[in-house]
Amino acid sequence: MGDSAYSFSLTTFSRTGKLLQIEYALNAVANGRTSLGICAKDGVVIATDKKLSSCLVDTDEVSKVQAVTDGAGFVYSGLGPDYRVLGKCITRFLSFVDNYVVLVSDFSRID
Amino acid sequence: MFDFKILTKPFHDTSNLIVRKARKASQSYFLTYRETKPVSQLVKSTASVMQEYTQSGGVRPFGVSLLVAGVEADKTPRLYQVDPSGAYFAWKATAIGKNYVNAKNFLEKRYTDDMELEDAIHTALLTLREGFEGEMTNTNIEVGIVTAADGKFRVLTPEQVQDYLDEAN
Repeated sequence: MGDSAYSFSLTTFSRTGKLLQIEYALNAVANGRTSLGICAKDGVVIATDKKLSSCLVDTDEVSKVQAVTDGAGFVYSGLGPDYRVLGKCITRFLSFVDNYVVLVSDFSRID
Repeated sequence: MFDFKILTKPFHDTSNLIVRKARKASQSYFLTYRETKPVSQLVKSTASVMQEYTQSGGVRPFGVSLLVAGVEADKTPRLYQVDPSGAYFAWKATAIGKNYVNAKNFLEKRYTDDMELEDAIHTALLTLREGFEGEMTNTNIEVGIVTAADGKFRVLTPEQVQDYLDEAN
């Protein structure tokens, strides 16, 4: 049985110790539009190619570089819809974790 | 005219919603620590979410890699990459997506430690142009910057992008 027999299941290692779905996800990224970033002394720049399939698409409605907090921004390469959902998951996760910290710190003040 | 508005709005609203929600999440960090969530924390949380999607049932990994630009609490600028596996790396300069190998080679040659933000923007545009099919304009690329001085992230307007493009020509 080769590696491909394991490729249907994300959570099962192949015999060679690979998680094939993750490698395929990286292939999806490598097929996406180019994004790049440079960290300078006094700041960071991130840039991306957002060329569209047709010149008829309204470019005003397409944005790939986004501020997430005041001081941090994201850009992605890969599947756009996945990025959108990831944004939601992060938000849910962040509010969960941060609220947890609030709860714990409140609790420790009781003694 | 009305119909167009209705058709385009949902997409517009959804992308704004994510940013609004993420801001709300970082606000709760602010309420606890009295400082904005540092970029390293943001990256760790994001990577955790992505890792979760490699070990849970009934899901698939995200088909995206992220580049995160931000500044730390001590004003150090940082650039991170987060992969679908949940792995994250801090880079001096990097590229992802189509043609990333060539772009990275180009960056390796151009990057210097004493680079300032203006040079970095210039180099970023030159690198992007290397693998670009067709002509680069202020509508088919997008640039975001964060400055260490004020620690604010901003997306450059098409006019600002045009200025840098003119400079690069």
